[in-house]
Amino acid sequence: MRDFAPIADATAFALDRRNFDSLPDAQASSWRKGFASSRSKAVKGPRKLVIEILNSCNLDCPMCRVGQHGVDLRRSMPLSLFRDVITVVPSVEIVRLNGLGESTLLPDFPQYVDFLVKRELSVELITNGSAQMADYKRVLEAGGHVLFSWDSADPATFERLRRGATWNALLQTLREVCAECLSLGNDSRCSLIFTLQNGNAGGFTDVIRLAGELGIGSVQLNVAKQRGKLDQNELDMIQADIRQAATLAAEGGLSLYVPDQITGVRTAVPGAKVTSGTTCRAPWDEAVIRWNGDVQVCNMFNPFVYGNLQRAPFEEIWSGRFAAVFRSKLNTRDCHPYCTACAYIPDAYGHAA
Amino acid sequence: MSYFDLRRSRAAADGMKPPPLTLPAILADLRWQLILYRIDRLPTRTIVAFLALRLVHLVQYRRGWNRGAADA
Repeated sequence: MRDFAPIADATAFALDRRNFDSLPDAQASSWRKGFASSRSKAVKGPRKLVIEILNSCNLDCPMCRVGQHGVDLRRSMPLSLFRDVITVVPSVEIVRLNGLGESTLLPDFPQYVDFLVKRELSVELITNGSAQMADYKRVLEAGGHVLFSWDSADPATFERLRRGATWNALLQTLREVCAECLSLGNDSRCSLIFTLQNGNAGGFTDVIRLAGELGIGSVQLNVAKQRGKLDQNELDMIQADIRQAATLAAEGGLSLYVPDQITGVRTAVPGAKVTSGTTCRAPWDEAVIRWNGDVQVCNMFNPFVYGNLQRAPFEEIWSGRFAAVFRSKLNTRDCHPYCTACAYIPDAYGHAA
Repeated sequence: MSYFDLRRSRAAADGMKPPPLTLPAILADLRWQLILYRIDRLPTRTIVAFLALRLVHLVQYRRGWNRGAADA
C-alpha cells in the first residue's frame, strides 16, 4: 500500500524519534528499554477502525486548529486507498469516520459511506454539522450514527469555540437531521458530543436542554486535553453542571455518557461511564488510520504512531514492537502521558470498543 | 496535556550529552540501531555499513567532534 501522499516519515528510525523523543527524558529511557526487550506478537485484529479520510476543516476551532489555513482537499485519503484499508482489516465491524478534519468536505464522501454499507459495516460519522443534509441522510439511511460536535447551546459561545460556524445554519441542519432520525423511527442515531474546554465550562446542562428540545437520543461529554490542571473552583462548577445535566437527562429519558473522572477527579454522578483514564482496552480493540497511512492508537488521537501502511502491512504494524510497547505500558504508572486522566468512553452508543 | 506540552516537557540537557565511550554503552547503542534497521528490513550489507559508521560517529562524538575540538 504505497499510494498515500505525501510519504510520511515513518521508518523505525523516524518513529523512534517521533514516539520516544516526545516523552519526558526518564520515561523515554524506560520506554526505549521496554521497546528493546519487546517482541512482535500476534494480537487479534481491531473491531473498530477510526479513519481520517480528510485532514482539513472548514472551521478553525481553538481546540484543534487544523482549519487555520483553510480547506485543503489534497490532505485526504483517496477512495481507492480507503477501500484497501478496510479490506486489509477483516476483523473490523465498526468504522468511525473521524479525524482532525471534517470528512464530509470530500466531494465523493457518499461513496465512502456506500463502500462501508456494501461491506455491511456499522458507520459512525463525527461531524461539525456543516455538511449538506444529503450526506447525513446517506449515513442515517445506511443505519449509521451521526455525532455532532456541539460545544455550547449559547450562540455566541458556540461561534467563538467553532470559529467560522454560523449558529443558525448549523442548528437548522441539526433540526433536519433529528427530524430525519424520527422519520426513520430511531432517535438514537443522532447524538451530540460536548467537548469540555477553555470557554464552555458550566454549559453542559444547556446542551442537554437543547438536545431534549430537538429529540436527540444521547449526549456525550468529552474533555479536551487541558493545558495544566483545572483549579478547584472550575472543577466544582463543572461537577455541579454535570449533576444538574444528569438530573435533566434522566427526567427527559436521554442517554448520557459522562466520564467517571475529569482530569483525574472523580465525577460524582450516578451512571458515569468508565473512561480510558481509569482502565483502557482501546489499543487492543481499535486503531486509528490517518490520512497519510499512519496507524495510531485510539480515537483520542494520541500522537504515538505504531507504523505506516506505506511501509508495512497492517497486521505487521498492529502486532509490531511499537504497538507492543505501548500496550505493555498502558494501565501502568508508566503509561503514555497523553493517556493520563483520559476522558474517552469506549463503550458509548452501545458499541463496546 | 497536549502533544506540544509533551515536547516542551523534555529537558534537552541530558539528551545532548555524548554517550559514554565504554564497551557496554557502545554495544547497547549498536544493538538499538540494529533493532531499528531490522524493523525497516534493511539489507544485511547496509546494516553492517551503517553500524560501522555509527561506531565511528560514537567515537568521534565522544572525542569532541560535536564541539569542533581539534583532536576530533
